Amino acid sequence: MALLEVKNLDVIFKLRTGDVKAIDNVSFTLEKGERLGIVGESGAGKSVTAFAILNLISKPGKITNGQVLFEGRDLASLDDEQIRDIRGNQISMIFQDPMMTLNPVLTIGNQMVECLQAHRNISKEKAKEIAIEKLKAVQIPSAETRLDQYPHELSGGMRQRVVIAIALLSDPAIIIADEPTTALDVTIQAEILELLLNLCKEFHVGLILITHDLGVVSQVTEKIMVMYAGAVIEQGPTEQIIHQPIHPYTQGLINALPQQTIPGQRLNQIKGVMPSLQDIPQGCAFHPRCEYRQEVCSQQRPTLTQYAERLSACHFSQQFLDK
Amino acid sequence: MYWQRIKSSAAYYSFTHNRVAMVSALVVFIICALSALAPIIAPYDPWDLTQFDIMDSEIPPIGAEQADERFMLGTDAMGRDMLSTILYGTGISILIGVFATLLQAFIGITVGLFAGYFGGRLDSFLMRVADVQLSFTTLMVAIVILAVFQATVGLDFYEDYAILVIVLVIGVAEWPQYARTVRACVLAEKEKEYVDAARVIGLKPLQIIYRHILPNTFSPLLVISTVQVANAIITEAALSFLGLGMPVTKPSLGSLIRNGFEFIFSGSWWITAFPSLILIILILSLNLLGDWLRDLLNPKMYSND
Repeated sequence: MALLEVKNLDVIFKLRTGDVKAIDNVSFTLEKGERLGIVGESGAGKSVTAFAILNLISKPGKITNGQVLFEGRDLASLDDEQIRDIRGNQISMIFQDPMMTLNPVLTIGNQMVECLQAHRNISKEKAKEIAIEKLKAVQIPSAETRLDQYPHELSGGMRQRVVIAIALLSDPAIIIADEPTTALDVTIQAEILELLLNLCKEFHVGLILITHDLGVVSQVTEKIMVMYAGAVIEQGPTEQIIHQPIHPYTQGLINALPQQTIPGQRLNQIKGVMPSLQDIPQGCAFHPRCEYRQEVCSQQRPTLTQYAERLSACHFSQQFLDK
Repeated sequence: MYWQRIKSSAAYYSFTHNRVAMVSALVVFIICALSALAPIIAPYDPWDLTQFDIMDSEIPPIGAEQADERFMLGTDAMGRDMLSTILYGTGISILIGVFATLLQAFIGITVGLFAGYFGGRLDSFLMRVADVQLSFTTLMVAIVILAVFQATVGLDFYEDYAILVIVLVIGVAEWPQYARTVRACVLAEKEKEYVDAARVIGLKPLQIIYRHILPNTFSPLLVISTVQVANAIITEAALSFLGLGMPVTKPSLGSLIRNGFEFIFSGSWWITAFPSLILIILILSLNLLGDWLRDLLNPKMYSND
């Protein structure tokens, strides 16, 4: 049994203008200690997937179909008390902007102790010890003095390390990192990614890394899931997807990496923008932007089909594979 | 270490470079200190009927003809020493102002936090209650309640519990100010990621509301609190002036003003003038302090200094 198994998940947001399907039939599994990357443009449904795992979808949104099985238990059907015991304890989450995720008026120590005491019946002193130990694990110098500092007294990279330390506090089985390096500058991005990778290997923690940067995913993860307009369009082992993508959208994403461009030439880009979730085109959602589109693409929606170790939702995946 | 922190803070800098703030803080401090020390420094005890003599009534303050050296600020119609009475009365006014504000804050903050965080029907309900409350002016509510209360329990009983009742009335009448401010803050704060992060950590809603969101609403609360203390003092003075506030035996500044008002045309101006002066200075200083705090805590507002 997989550690985390998401089955046919649908999330619908009820808006005035009608229902919007933010997540459409998403399925994936995560084994113990495995690292999965979820890639896609803004609005593709990556973060909603993450929130859905923790049953944190709020008001206009709702999980309408599917299951999130964590160690065999369906998280979507747990009551508030039970799900709180999972959140931050067995599955923790790291957000994009460390300036925003730390409460500006509480000290680092306070926030860490609070998190520990929410799940375990331990004394403040013991909690502080664990906090210091975790701060050291994320390589924060003079961890003891950091406990009494406020978030604004730390630099951006340092803050994200604190956030990671908080995520590690209760030795979770899975960490969901929602664009953990987007708000940081490039040199620190690499440091934080390496730290995250090492920590996951060291403590044998599963990682779900959400990002729009294929470069980041290729360094850290073992599996990739590419999302477009709320649906999974390609899924498989990282190496295969990076080297031989069999969906035109993934190909476009990889070609758009600056590293793929010859100096002096224009950057490659996928023409057009992702359709609004409220009017997804007939047939394949990607076909208006696809350079390989045929008659069939605008009429029939391709299903997610297995090709050896991976899945792809394109009518011509087999041809790309044979090339 | 805390002193160092205070000294290096922006608030300390702004305070020491703002003469108005410094002077008004000093004035508020002196008035509070004097009234707190009233039992020690006041020459007489105005609450003790045995300590004054009707023969000493309406003696003018020092400097005027017929002044008496025993009574620096003169005496009132009952022969009470004005200085002592003002010292005690200021204490009562401040006490009522502070406790009424605390009560307003307690009710208002609780209502505002819950309305803002949970939203939906609870929010609509609580805010409509606040709207209804606001549609009655504080004075009207206070007059009705106090008049009914005085009539039902009798004046003797009322005199013993006057402070408590006035605090309750002013506290209950003005809580929507706090509720609205807090609710507006909560609506802005709860969209921030640290609230999501707190939920992801697995904290309970009450923990999130009180530990994470409440401290982030403190700056506007601090500002309205100074203004609300001043307002509560004024309201109490107005009620006393109408004869519904503190009884003559334990006068506040408002009851003192009312006391002397009857004699103002017979030439005994000092009975009304001195308490009024203290009231004006106290309220002005509190409001100036509030202004300074608002400038300090609201960086969006342009300020010249």
